[in-house]
Amino acid sequence: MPAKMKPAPKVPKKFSGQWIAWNHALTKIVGSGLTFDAALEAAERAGESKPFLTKAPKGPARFAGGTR
Amino acid sequence: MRFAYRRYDTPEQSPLDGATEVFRPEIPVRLIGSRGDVYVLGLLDTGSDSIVIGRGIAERIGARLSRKKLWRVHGFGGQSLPAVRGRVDVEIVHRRESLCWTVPISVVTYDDPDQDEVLLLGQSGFLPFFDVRFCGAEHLLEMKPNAQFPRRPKPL
Repeated sequence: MPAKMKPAPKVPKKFSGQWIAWNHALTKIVGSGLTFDAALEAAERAGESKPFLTKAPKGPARFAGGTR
Repeated sequence: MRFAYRRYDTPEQSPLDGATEVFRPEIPVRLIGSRGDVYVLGLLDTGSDSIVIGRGIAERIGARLSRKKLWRVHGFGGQSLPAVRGRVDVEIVHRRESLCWTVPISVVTYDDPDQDEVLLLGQSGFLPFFDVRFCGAEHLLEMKPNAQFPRRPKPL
């Protein structure tokens, strides 16, 4: 069994379907927006020069991966 | 390298199990092109035959795109998106360790920008270079480069 590690912070549902920007330590959300650019700009305004961007799941949708 | 799954609250319960949160095995990576770089979370997707990114991100960083080679990327259920082949450098930074190498990518154009996703880290160019352990109960993954990993110096 792997050693325990601190769980990732949970993304609140208010960000559902939005792009979000984490601080570089991945400990807090520093920006969000409807587009990649909007989330990035919000993070830069918050003083984070190297945010990690991702997108929160939308509504009840679940991702079904696999591509060819 | 160990990474906690990323956690997302969802506004509605899953019709499958009533869950109101999802866990995704995403890892922090830096994508590097000729014009710049971005830091994103990439989803480890063992079902994806390639690394897939959206065209917007690829163009932002100046990924090398081959517009001669056009095809369609097919997802589950047969839905498909137009794609071109590209190349970028990818870097994983984890504590004091940095891994960087050049990867082939499928660059897709989404019909609906609202459906845009960030990054799928699939087979070609990524997963064969790592031994990965998904620890589902603990919501974490462990990965380490294997003998196939194409080591190269850390980027600037």
